[in-house]
Formats: sequence, C-alpha cells, structure tokens
Amino acid sequence: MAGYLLKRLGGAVVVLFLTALLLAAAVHLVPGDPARAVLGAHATPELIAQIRAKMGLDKPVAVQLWDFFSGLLHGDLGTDFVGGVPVTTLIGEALPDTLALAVASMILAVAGGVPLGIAVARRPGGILDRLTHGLSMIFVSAPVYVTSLILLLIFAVKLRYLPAMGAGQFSDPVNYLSRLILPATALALFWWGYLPRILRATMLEVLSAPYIRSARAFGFRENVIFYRYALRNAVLPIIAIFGLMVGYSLTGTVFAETIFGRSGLGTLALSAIDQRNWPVIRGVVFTYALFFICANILADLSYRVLDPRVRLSEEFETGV
Amino acid sequence: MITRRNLLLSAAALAAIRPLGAGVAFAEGTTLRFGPQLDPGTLDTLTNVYDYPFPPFSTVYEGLTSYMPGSEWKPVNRLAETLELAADGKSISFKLKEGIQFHRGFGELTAEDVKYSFDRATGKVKLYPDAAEGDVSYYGGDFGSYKEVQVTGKYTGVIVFEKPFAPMLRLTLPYATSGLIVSKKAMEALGKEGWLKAPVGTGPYEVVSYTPNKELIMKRFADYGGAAGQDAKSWPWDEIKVSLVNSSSAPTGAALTAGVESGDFDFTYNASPLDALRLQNNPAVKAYIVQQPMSYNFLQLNVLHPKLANPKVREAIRYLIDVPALIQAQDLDVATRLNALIAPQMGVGNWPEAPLYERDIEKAKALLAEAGVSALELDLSAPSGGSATAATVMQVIQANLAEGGIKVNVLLTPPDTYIKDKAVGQLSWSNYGGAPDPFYQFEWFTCDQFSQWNWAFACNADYDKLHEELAAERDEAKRTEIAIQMQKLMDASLGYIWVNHQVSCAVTAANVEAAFDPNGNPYLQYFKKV
Amino acid sequence: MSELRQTVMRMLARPAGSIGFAIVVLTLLVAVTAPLIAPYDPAAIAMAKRFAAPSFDHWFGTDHLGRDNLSRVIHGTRLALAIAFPAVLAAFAAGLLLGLVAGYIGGLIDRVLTVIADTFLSFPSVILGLALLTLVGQSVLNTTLVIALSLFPYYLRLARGLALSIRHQPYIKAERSLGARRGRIMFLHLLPNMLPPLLVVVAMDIPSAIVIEAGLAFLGLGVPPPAPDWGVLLNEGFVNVAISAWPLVGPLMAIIFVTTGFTLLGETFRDIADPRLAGLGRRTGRFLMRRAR
Repeated sequence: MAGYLLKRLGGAVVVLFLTALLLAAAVHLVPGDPARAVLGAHATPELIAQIRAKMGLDKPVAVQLWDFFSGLLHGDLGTDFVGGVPVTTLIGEALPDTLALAVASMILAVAGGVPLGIAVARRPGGILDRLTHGLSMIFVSAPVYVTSLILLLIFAVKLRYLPAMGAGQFSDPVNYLSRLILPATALALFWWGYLPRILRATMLEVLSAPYIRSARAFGFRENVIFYRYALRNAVLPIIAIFGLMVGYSLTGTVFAETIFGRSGLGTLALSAIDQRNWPVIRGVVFTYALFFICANILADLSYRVLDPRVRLSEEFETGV
Repeated sequence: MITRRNLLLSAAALAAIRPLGAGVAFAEGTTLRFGPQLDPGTLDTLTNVYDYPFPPFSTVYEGLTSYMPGSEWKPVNRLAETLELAADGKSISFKLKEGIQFHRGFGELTAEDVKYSFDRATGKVKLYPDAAEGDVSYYGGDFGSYKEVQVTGKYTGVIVFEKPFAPMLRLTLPYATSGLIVSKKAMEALGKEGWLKAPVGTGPYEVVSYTPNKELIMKRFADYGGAAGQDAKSWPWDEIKVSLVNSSSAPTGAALTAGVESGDFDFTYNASPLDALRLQNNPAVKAYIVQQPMSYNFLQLNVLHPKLANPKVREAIRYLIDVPALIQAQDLDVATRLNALIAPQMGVGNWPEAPLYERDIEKAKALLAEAGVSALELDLSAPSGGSATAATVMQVIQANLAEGGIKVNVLLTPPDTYIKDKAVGQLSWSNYGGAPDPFYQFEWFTCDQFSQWNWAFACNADYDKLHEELAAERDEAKRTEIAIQMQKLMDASLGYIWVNHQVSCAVTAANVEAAFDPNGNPYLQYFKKV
Repeated sequence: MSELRQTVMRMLARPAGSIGFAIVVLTLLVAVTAPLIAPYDPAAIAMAKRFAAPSFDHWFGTDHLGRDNLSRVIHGTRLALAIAFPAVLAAFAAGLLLGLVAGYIGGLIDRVLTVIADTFLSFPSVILGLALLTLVGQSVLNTTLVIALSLFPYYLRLARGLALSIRHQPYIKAERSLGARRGRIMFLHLLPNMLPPLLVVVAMDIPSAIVIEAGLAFLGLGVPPPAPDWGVLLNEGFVNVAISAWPLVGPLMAIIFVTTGFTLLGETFRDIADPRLAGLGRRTGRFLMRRAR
C-alpha cells in the first residue's frame, strides 16, 4: 500500500512538473497582446511599452520560464498583469467561494441521493423505483450548465423565490447560504440521478449474498437485515466515489459560478482568459490540476482500501 | 469573442429579483459608497492607467481648468483665475486663484507647483525625487511641444511651447489626468513611497488611505480652497469610500450592479445598456444612460489588404452595412448614430453635412460586379476585444454582407498580426475611447499609427499635414474647417464606416443623484442626496 | 453481420435500448435533413422581430437578432454531431494506436506515453479546453481537436490495459513462440480483441463530446458565429434572459433529449456487449463522469 502510494505521488510530481512546463511555455503562444487587452481603447504606445515591460513580456523566453519555475518552488505563481497582485492572492480570494459551493453540493448530493437510493432499493420495481429510473437517466445525462440554467429559469426568473446572483459575504451567513441553494442543487442533481442507481444495484447484489440469506434463515426481521447488514456494505462504493465527487464538483463549479454570477476560481479563470491575463490563467489551471490530481489519487486510494477487487483490474485506473 | 462580461451581464436573470430582504436601496449618513471600480494602478496623475478624469482623480486633484457636469464641452476656470492664449498660439499665460491650499498642510498653491507638475509630466524632471529606472510619465504626449513654464510671480506664469499646441486648452488642462496639479513640496517630502500611498492635491476630498485593489477612502478636505465654487463645503459627503477591484476579478453585469441593488453601495458605473434597461423598472435604484459622444464605435476596412484594395469593394461594403441594425444590436437608441468621426456635441470639428449612407443592396451588388469580384470571403474581428456586444454586432455585419454575396468569417480570437500586419487584418469592429479635442480624436488615423490603432491602414500625407495644422490652429472656426477636410479625406478613403458613439450606464441608490461630465465620467463631488 | 444484427435485436428488446435507439435515429434524421425541415434560414436576421414570443410563424419565438429559435436548434443538431463524431473517433483512433504500442512494446515508450496521457488527464476537460482554445483560437476544427485531445488519454489508458492483458493470453504466447512478427501480432491478434470494449466507450463518449463542446461554447470559447451551435445559443439566451427566456428553451430541451438518448443507447450497448465494463462503469462511474468534466 505504502509503495503504491509512493509510486502515485512520484507520478503526480512528474505530471505536475510537465503541467507547469506546458503552462509556462504557453504564454508565448497566446494570441492577442495582453498589454493592449488590459489597457483598452486609448493606450498610447509609450503606455503599452511600459505595461509590457512591467509584465516582463520584453524579457527573453528562457528568462521568463526560469522566473516562473523559481517562483513556483517558493509557492509563488507570479503576479497578475494588471494590478500587479500576486496570483496566489487572487486564487486565495476566489477559492473559499468555490470550495463552499463544492462542499455544499456534495452535502446535498449525499443528503438527497442516499435516502432516495435506500427507498428505491427497499422496494425494487415499485412506483418510486420506476419513476426515479426514468428521471435518473436525465439527471445523469444533463450537464451542469443545463441544470443550472433550468433552475435559474424556474426559481429565479419565473418564481423569483431565491436570490440568484452573486456569492454574498461570509459575514452574512444566512444570505450566503441562501445564495448557495440554487447552484449547489444544480451540481447535486447529477448525483441524485447517479447515487440511487449504484446504491440500488449494490443493494440488490448484497441482499442476494449468502450471508444475508443465512440471516433471513435465522429469522432476523427484514428491517434489521436491510439497515444493519445490507446497507452497511452497500454504502462502501459510495464512500469510494468521494474522490470523483470532488473532481466533478470542482469542474461543475465553473459553469455554476458563471450562471449564478458567483465569484470563484471558475469566474476568475474566465475573466483572465478574457483579458489574456496569462499569469492568472496559468495559476488557476495549475490549481485545478493540483486539486484534480489529488482528487484522483484519493479516488483510487479509497477504492483500493474499500474494494480489494479493484486491484485485479488495475488497467482501468484513470492514471494520475 | 463572446465575453464573460457578456455572459454575466446577462445573468440579468436578476431581472427583477431583489436581493433577499432588501427594500429600496438608500444611501445612509454622509458617506458615499462607490464601487466596485477598477483599480487605477496608482493614484499618480502620470502613471495611472485611466488617463481620463475618472474618480478619484477628479476628486483628489484639480487642474487649471475643468469641464463641469452636464453635456456642455466648455472648460471653466478652476485653479486658474485667468487663462489666456497668446496671439501666436505658442504660450498660455495664467494667474492662479490665491489662497488655494494643498491637502495635509503642504501649503499654498503657487506657480512653482504648476511648473513642477508639467515638467514632471513631460519628463523634464524626475517623476519622484527618488525615482527608480522604470518610473516614467506615460502621458508626456498630452503636452505637444511643451517647452517650459516661466514663473513670473507667486501666482502667475506662462506655459511656453515650441510650436502652437491648441489641444492644451480643451484636452490637457481640463480633461487629462496629466494636466492635474500636484504639490511640489509634498512630493519632495514624501518621496515615491509616501506619495503613492496618499498623494497630495488641492481637490475637495483628500486621500485618507489607499489599499490597492481593495479600498480607497477619502474625506472632505477641511481647508478646501473652493476653486470649484462657493458651494463646495455644502456638498453632502463627509467621506467617500471607493471599493476597488483588480481587473481580473472585476464583476460585470448583474454581479456588478448587485451591490447597489442590495444597498451595499450607493453608486456604480460601467454597467451595460442591458443592465440599465433592466434596472429602469426597479424602484429600489436609479439607472442612468449617459451619452459618451467622444467615444465611438465603427468598422475599419483595411485598405491595403489585397481583398479590399479595390475602392469599389469597400464602397459596396459601405452600402451593405445596416448601421441602425448595428446600433440596435448593442441595445442602444438609434439616436447615437455617428455620420463622421467628430460628434456634434464636441462643439468644434463636427461635419454637419457628412453623408449618411443608407443601405442599398442593389447598388452594392452593382459595385461588386463592376469591380469584377465574386465569391469574396473576408475576415472580421474585434481586435480591442472587451466590448460586451462585439460578438452580436459582428453577427449582424456578417448577415449584412452575406446579403451582398460576401462571406464573412468572424475571428473571435484574432492573431496579434491582425492589427500589426497590413496583409492580415481585414474588417475590424472598433470601439475607441476619445477625448474632447479633435486633434486627439484624429490622432489614431495618421500614417505613424500603423500597427498601433490605424487598423484601416489608410495613410494620407494631406491628412497628416492637416493633423499638424489642427494642433497649431487656435481659432475654433478654422479648426472646424480643418477637421471637416480631414473627415472628408477619411470618407474618401473608404476605410471607415461610422456607426455610433458610446453610452455609459450607471446605477445609484434611490436617494442619490449622480453627476457626470460631458463624456459620461462620474463627478463624485457633485453627487447629491435627494 | 449476423452478430451485429443479434446485438441490435437484443438492444431493442430492452425498453432503454429501444427508447435510446429511437432518439438517436430521430437525431440523425434531424441532422441530415436540417435544411429541409427548418422553417427559416438560421442566420437570417430581422431586427424588427427581436425577442418575439412563440407564434404560428415562430414556434419557439425569435432571438436577440430576430432569428428563428427553432431553425437554429435544428441546424445546431447537425453541428453538434459534426463535431462530436469526428472528435470521438479521432480520440479513439489515436488512443487505440498509442495504447496498443505502449501496452505491447512497453519499456520507455510505454512510460513516456503514460506520463503524457496522465498529464492531460490531470486537467478537467473543460479547463483543458478553455486553456487550449485560448491558445489556438476558436474554430470548428480546433474545437474538434481540443475535445479529441481531452478524450484520447482515456482510450490510451484503456487500450494499453487491454493490450497488456491480452498479450499474456496463451494463444498470443503461442503465436510468438512460432515466430510471428510483432506487427502481425499487434494488428492481427491484439487489435481485433481490443475493439469491442473500446467501441462501447466510443458509444458512451458521443454524448460526452456533445456536452463538452456545448459547454465550451457556452463559456464563450466555442465555434465562431453564425454557427447555431447549441452552446452558443445557450450563451446568447443567457445573456438576454432578462428580456426573453424563449431562446433558451429549445437548446436546453435539445441537449437533454439528445444526451439522454445517446446515453441510453450507449449503456444498453455496454450491458450487452461487455458485462465486464458494465460492472466497472457502474462501480466507478468514470465513463459517465467524464462528460461532466
């Protein structure tokens, strides 16, 4: 296990290095002059030259690469082209809102998906089962931006129930939480379709297992069998997909943040792209890669711990 | 490209949604809370990225003259008691008002400060006493052939030029941040670091603290000299708080106006027409749509590109473009249409008889046939990006030209060479910011602006010569004549299709009355509480 | 041939399969006949009719430039498929070949290819797509390539694993001991055995590609106008949602309808074609998850 972990971490470091190299080199390929993009419509040539110098764009490529890497080792992602703010500061400001949304969506996902899955598995073939079977397909297929837009249309535009735009301030928790409801739900819908499906399948598998049959033979009540024995085993795969949930939430937030006008990592990336503010793009993409790699390692690890069978099919790992 | 700004502004889903628990937004107390506003980079008059009198520059500093709120482009004296241009146009003599104080006890304004400010702007003295290598003025160009200020008395002096420079009176002194007066004594005492933390001007509000990308706090200047008029001390705000954001995290659209709607701010601007239209029905706030006649949107046709080299092709394009549709696509009133570069509001340089080209598809087709062109395919891009509605406008242009048999490829992310290389760029949807002097408005279309802002690559020696004459000529009637000639040359070059001047949209709390200069820039000290 | 027919019959026998099949056939029909069935030219601008509500003339109303919403959605179907199919096939072909080489030859080539694949896998597709499109500029071809690039590492990984496991089968060892050349073994023996499970993933990836493409376009980095791309329609509809919600209705319905249809069909195909993948997919959800990224 320790050896495996070490191998994965080593691989992750190599991949992160390559990622950083790709991102650092890419700045010279970005079309559009960031100095112009930043200065807008009436910049004098002197001003453009000044800003380019300030951005370090007039230095040789090798020097720029070196600057980036030596900074990276000190946890420095460079400074934003315009305000000269450290990119890490910008990311640090954006991250809490993104994480709040990701966590909220995961809580909603489990809080809604697991009970639904249990109810469905309790009466397979029942009305609820049939109903959710059809719906789950749609929930699982619909991308985050579709669910977000539909929620926006229904609850914010049509019914005007909930505040739609912006992330709010931590200092006003009630308001902050109320602004989380719609985007978090949009992200959780996928899991409301997905969790009951796997829960139902594993539940049925477990319920037909020999030890459950013997439990029945011993005359345990059906409820005791279901909740005490079967459920415990069926929940394992759900814990195992935690890492995947993290990955899904992080990328889903890009859309949810855009549609609900929230500040966060996703909107930071998009506005940076808009301005060709490459240090910020680079920093945000690097951060995503970092989280994503961690989430994937977490996913594979938890999987290995919880389900020994996986080791047999290592070829299907996602890699890093 | 379809920008994020575009996206968010729409998130106008907020359409009528009031933030939870908010009733009518009211400004409380005597603090004006303004924001979010883009950080100016620095509060220095010469190294900020604004160049134009956006707040807080118009609030902290004052110039010899200034424009007043409203729509009239008529400079009034501010720090100057009198101001006079010499007959030969090569010097401006001034007399300062007496008793004007600088902030924080840095003494009375004298002609020495004027000299120091202008020498500094033009690089004749160091930017700071302890200036580093890269510390240079960005805006020396605003001063033309400035030579020196001759100080003739405590309050009097003469601004001297090598050659006449007329834009000084309309642009540099009343409008550009580079024309604002700083305290020489304060600069010498504070040095670079101290100055950038809290610079010293004579304006009605002084800087209390400036945290870049976060917040700027100004308070009423107790010893204000009243250069802006008698009522200066009766202005309602004791304090002005500006919430600053980095351009990377600047909110747009509904996220931009949400602060005013929820009562966190009393004022915000740089909203889009769509925001303003949406908020006009919201009684909690007041929405403003202000004309910006100096800033203009137009289409440039690269006259040197082989596909556009034939004037008949360019003329055909002119007849294919449906200008009113382009304006509507920006959610604007067709009344903002421009027929030539200089808007009538400028007061000087307008060409009233400028031809108004109506759409005429048959004529366009005939011109294309005459040119022997068929199956023409052109690139269209918006190289300055930024504009929320550029993608929409470009789709209309695309559809317009398609009706004449011209296929247009919209490049959402144009390569660098699009504006730099005359063999690459073709059609460019352009949004230029402007300033209140025709000299400045014409500046972008000279030969030496190739690969800078002259995306039409139209170069005409006569035009450049007239441009220089425009700098030297001080008689407004004659300047208008020159400007008309220049606009005729632009018209004849077939490199430009004028569309509209821009508008600025802003939102205030219901009990705040905003004030704007004639180009739609907010003038914080003139804001009223109602 | 009869095997294919049998597979299809078995898929149609399941309700999910028959519904999915019907939706997919309908989608393909709409895509092929778009110019015939769309009531208007999707690019025809009519400023006088901006933001019209649904009527007999315009069943789904008009957009911010007075264009017919229904016609734009219909033509968008064509574009969605025209990007998704080539993107997935390119990812499949590249992943298959490189994975085969990595898995069978092994050694340094294997390590290099795996690290490259892992590097691409460490970005969420949408983020990778945003960054790449910023670099290379927006066009139909670039969008297709970027989607292919973000999908191919999965195929590489999968193909590599399959090649590794098949290579140790007794009959391959026998071939090798008989002196068969490497190329012959790779293409005559490994490749055919790797195809079925990979084709399952191809089927499952079509909706993923549609969703990634529309997502990028929605964020402003999609195909250039006037292409009535579903993501662009969502973007434009979202921008103007305060004035009219109708431009959003069509593309939203279309995306749900088409992705659900393809997913139903793909899952049924998977369950029938390769039970091993079925189990895996259900347990890890990785194949479903991909589109979300």
